Amino acid sequence: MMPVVLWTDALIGLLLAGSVALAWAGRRNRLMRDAWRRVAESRPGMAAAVVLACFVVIGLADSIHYRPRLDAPGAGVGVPAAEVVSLLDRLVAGLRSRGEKTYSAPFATHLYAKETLEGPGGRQFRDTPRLRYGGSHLKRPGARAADVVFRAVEGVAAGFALWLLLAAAVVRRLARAQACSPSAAWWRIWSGQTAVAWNAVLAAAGVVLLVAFPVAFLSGQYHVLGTDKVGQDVLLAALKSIRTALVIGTLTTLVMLPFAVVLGILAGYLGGWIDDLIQYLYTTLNSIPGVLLIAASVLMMQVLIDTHPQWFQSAAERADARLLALCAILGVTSWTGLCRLLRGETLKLRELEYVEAARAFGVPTPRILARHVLPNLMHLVMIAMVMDFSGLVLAEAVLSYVGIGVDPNTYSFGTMINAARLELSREPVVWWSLAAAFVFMFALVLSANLVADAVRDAFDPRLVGRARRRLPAG
Amino acid sequence: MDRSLLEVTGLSTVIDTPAGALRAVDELSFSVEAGTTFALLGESGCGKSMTALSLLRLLPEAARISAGRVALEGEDLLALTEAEMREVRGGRIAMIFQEPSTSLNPVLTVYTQIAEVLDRHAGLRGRQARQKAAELLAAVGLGDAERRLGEFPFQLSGGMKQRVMTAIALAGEPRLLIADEPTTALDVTIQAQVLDLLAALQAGRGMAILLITHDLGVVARLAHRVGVMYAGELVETAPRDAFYKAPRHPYSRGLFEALPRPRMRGVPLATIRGTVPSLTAAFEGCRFAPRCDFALERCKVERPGWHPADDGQLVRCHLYAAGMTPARSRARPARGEAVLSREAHAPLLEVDGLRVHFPIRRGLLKRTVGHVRAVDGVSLAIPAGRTLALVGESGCGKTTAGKAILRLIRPTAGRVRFDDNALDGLEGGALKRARAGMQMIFQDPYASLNPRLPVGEIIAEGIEAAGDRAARERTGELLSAVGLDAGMTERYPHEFSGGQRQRIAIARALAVTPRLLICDEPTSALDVSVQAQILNLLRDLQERMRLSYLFITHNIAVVEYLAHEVAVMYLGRIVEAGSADEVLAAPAHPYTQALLSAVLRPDPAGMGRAIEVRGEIPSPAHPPEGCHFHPRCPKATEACRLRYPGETRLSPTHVVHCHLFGE
Amino acid sequence: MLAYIVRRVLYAIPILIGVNLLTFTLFFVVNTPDDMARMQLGIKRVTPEAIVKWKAERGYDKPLVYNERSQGVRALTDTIFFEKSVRLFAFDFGRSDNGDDISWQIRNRMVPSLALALPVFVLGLYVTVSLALFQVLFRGTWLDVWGVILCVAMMSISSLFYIIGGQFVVSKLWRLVPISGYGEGIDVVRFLLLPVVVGVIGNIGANTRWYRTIFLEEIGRDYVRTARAKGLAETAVLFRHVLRNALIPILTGAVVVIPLLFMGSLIAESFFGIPGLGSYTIDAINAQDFAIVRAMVFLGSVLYIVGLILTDISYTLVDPRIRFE
Repeated sequence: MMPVVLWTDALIGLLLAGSVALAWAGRRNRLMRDAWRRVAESRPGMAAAVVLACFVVIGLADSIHYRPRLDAPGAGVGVPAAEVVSLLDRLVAGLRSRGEKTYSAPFATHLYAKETLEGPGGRQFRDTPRLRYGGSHLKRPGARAADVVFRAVEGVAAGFALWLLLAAAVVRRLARAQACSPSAAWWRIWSGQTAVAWNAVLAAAGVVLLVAFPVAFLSGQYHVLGTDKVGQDVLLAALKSIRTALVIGTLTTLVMLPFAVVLGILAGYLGGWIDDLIQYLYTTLNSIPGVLLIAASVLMMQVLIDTHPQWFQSAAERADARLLALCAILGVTSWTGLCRLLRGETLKLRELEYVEAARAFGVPTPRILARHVLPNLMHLVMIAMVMDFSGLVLAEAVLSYVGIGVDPNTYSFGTMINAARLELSREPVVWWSLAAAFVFMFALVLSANLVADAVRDAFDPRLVGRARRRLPAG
Repeated sequence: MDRSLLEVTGLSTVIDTPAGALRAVDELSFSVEAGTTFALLGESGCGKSMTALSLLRLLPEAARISAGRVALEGEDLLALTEAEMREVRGGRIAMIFQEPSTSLNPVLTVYTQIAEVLDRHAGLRGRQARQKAAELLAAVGLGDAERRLGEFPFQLSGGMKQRVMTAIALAGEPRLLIADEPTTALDVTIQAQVLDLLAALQAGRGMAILLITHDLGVVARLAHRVGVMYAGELVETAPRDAFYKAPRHPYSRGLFEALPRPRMRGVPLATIRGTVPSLTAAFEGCRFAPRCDFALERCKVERPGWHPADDGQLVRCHLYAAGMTPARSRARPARGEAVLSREAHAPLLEVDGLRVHFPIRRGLLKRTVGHVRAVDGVSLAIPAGRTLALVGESGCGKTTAGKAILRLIRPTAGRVRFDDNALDGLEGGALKRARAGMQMIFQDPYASLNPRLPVGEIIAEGIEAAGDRAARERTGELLSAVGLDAGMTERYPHEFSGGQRQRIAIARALAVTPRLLICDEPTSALDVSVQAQILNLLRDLQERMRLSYLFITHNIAVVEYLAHEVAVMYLGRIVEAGSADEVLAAPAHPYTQALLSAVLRPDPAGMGRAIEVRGEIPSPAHPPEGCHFHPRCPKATEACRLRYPGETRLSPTHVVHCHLFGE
Repeated sequence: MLAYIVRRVLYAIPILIGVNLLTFTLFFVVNTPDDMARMQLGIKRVTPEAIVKWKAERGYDKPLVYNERSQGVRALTDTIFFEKSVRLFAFDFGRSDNGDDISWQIRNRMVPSLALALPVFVLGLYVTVSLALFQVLFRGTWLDVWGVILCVAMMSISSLFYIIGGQFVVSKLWRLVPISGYGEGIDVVRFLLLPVVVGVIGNIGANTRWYRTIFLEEIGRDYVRTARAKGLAETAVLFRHVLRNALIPILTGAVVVIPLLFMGSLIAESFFGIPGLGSYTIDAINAQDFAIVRAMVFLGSVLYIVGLILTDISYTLVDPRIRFE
């Protein structure tokens, strides 16, 4: 096994390490802790966070890449394969290997379309052939319903068992922390009397487990979400698309953040010609309609990549470079909004009396920016980051659909929709690819939106201020 | 006895907060007679505004009335349907609010906003409404009514906006007018005008007024009866004159004693210790007991009932229970006026001809078409250990002057010498060293501390900036110097009250061991009892550390109490300066005279008529020709219109810029 | 006022120059015309002669910014920069890489684009503002709570699914309107009905939520309390006082996109087969026709800047505070 670190893997690792480091550094900061506590109180937010966490875990598993060693006959040691695979690929190796010939419906045992087959006597007839893998263990196709139900029940039971284990662990911790009996802790959780919204967490975890386990149990023998045109399992495509969505949603912001923060603060605090220049810069970039600027940049990037094949060692690397470049392009075209917001906010902060007090002390400008300005802007950066996520995931789908998104060979919701949309005009309709993309995207974006709302409510000091102002003077 | 116009019995209002139910108003009972003014007096957070909103049933969404009866002419308002209540609002009861600049709709004309009420409650439309609206504007003293009707609120000054608010309130011909801090946001001279207007309107229309205020001066001017509120309940009700002659409740007395007054100079002000209790707690005894100097054992366990005192006063205090001898005012250290040494000091700070002009840019190429002369030639000098008060109304340039002295704003011209170093033209490190002995204390204690830094770091910032690296330990020492617990360094600003925050700001300024503090309205955002604490602290620090203060303020009472010297500013220039005795006792400039006469004294008897000052303060972008004050001056002559008066020296220390004293 | 607008117009010039330089860099410096020729011709047909021919046919055979072989002004004008970028300022878009007249295309395609985009814009604004007002009127009740939940759910669905779903259900299952296409005269309505409805519905979630926040912010202000103290009914407070103030940010936010309506909608037009500028752009992107993309970038920037200027003007119209400055 030979580890391969793609550029996006490295950046994801960096993002993860950065978040952990920030959390570690900020753990003693009471204001930060209070804000996160408010997030933990939000029931929709926490339920969505559980779902989002599942997506993140899948995405991370898909971000650990390596080249498996092939046991070449004759050679003593394995030779690294040309193909780069990820941990997720290994975990769902079954899905990868069980390709069919072409379309088949969810839980199907036969292909979707009729083909000309040759009977035992050389007689030709048209029928839907049996699938190579889907339901192939069944002696007779009629037993399918009973088999599916049986396996699903098995899955539900396993999921429920795991959920009970999880709930028991939470109850135990809570009982120990609050020095009460487990049954009292159980009661507190479900009546919503806990500081962390455990009821929402457990409910969401329950739903996730009760869906994931039966699907996992069934996917061993069936194509739960059917297969696509080239016979590939749709569930696999959907799972692999998650990483792309997460990369676009997070790395884009990571790329644009330094621009937006540095330029926004400098423009707002220093004013004068620096402000004029930075304003000119973002007004100019902003005045080009986003899609067109992205289209132009992506087209140019495509030419660049296509004319320099020698830069990339493998197809995976090339697709990865294109994904990263897309993030960079999206970032460069979208930093202007945050930059303008931060500039305006810095203008206000600059006039505040504590900044003037620091100036009166003769505190040097870089130190004022670092101590008084930046920390009072971080909540905006944080909110922008989580709010942008869902928008970027949706944008990726549209861009990939238009053909200016990720590499057509990269799994993504956009490429899934693009490949599937023509199938709607077939008779009978092939609906499952679209349905799968819809369900996965909806779950991802909705949970991201709910988490973003919870974070915004917890970190936006204006809301806190409004709550305080609600009590009229006197 | 006739039935009262408004009778409130047992009114309780609860606000739901994350910390539990907050009883903002607790079993409040009072009545307002027709044609009279009842004043609800109290400090911030005592529930007086919530009371007003409860009467109109205009509470914010988190609040609700939990008990009580509000009877207007015998009809219970709390039993009315929402539709019936709307007939009352703006009709039989009208209200004017504290902040005229935000209480008017910015995008509707004055006429639209008045006509709404006329349409709703008088059924007037079209020409009739227009005529009536013009009459109303004339009634509230706004000239040129026809033109004003077509204007938008932003085109009016603060005082004019409050007059428009009053006109809106009068449009429904109300029987009762609720005025919630109607003059708090206004300048002293304008404040007097608006109060006079309210008094005149009441006399003319026989309307009752429920006045809500924290200002003993406003109450003295307008009220017939007074009710003192503390922590959600009434603690004393009294006819005005009796109340001012002898306030009974220990809290009422504390309020009076905390007021800075000229005869108190050199003596620490009485303060009320502690803070207002949280209203989410359940009270057993008297709410004021923990802060009361006369508290008995009984006060802690038993809620006091109403007890009559002489002169028709009612007091909620065990001290007045039958058989108790009411305690007299508490003994105070009898110290006379501290003798202020009059020897000639070398000035610590000397400012000469300071000018700050902001360019006005207009037109295609943003050419400079004029200047806002915020500060236009200010000269002053402060000796070590003395206090100079820079007095003026809003927009006169006093804050800008203070910041320009510290070089937080770059002055356009003028010289500043501090401690025998010229600050002009210095930059960077040299400037930092030269002005190291100057610091500033700001007006708003909520904006002057970085909310994201713990208090220890806020204070340490100054020490570190001064190059003293190993001085973090000093933060605790500084906190105790300003009367806070030295162990509070890990707390964040939001965990402190306004007064405590101002102490932290002072501690931060003291960190660099300054010799001069520029105090920009340091107490204007604070309650009277907290203001007294801060003034005492500043006075104490001055004595101990021989600090000099440049005290920027509009509050004459504070000036009288604290200042050794006074400079009065009008439109960017000092019009009169001298020792505090000279300027305050014998003001020479007509503006100073008007300013001092407009000050509301907490004493109904000692209140003379304010000298009428016409109109509003002009814009510093277009100061009037000649003497800046002449368009408003009752004594203006031809000379005043032509040229700005030069300096006239009335005594070695007293100078004035006025043609009346010219050659 | 007039000076203000003139200054805004003048400010647009350096921005357009910036846009122009940026696109020039992107299209001609990052990748040379040779790269593009290789790309367009495909790997199999690339020969040096083919590249030269391809460039000559499209006018890409000149030097980038300075032509040493020409004299005087021609040294600057006989270049790719002048021919392909500077000429855009005169709205001379030239020919596309496959030879058709871009200006002619733009003129012809603006109408269908507008026929779709304008109704979506107007109806969308009307529907979302009404829904937001409705929510605010019932704020704190279950109607509002479920409204917000519905908004979040609706904004979590990709616009692609609205279009695909709409086509599938309305056109394919119910056969009410054609799936795609464009007609003449009154026939247009048949083709535009579904795209307009889908376009409006697709924007409901995000916009309603946004407008609701603006309304709620306005409702917390002091003047609203004054209006209630006058005895006005809640609807009068909402429509006369809150709406007037909230419309300032809403309208000015909407005005900036009005000129861009000419550009049409990329996705909707290509799905519904409407021959507008959006589908023109998409086709150009798919065919990698850089001349068209370049023209569209410039046109889009001009329209955006016009939108900014219109925004400034509309501010002065709706906000008396600015009108009288």
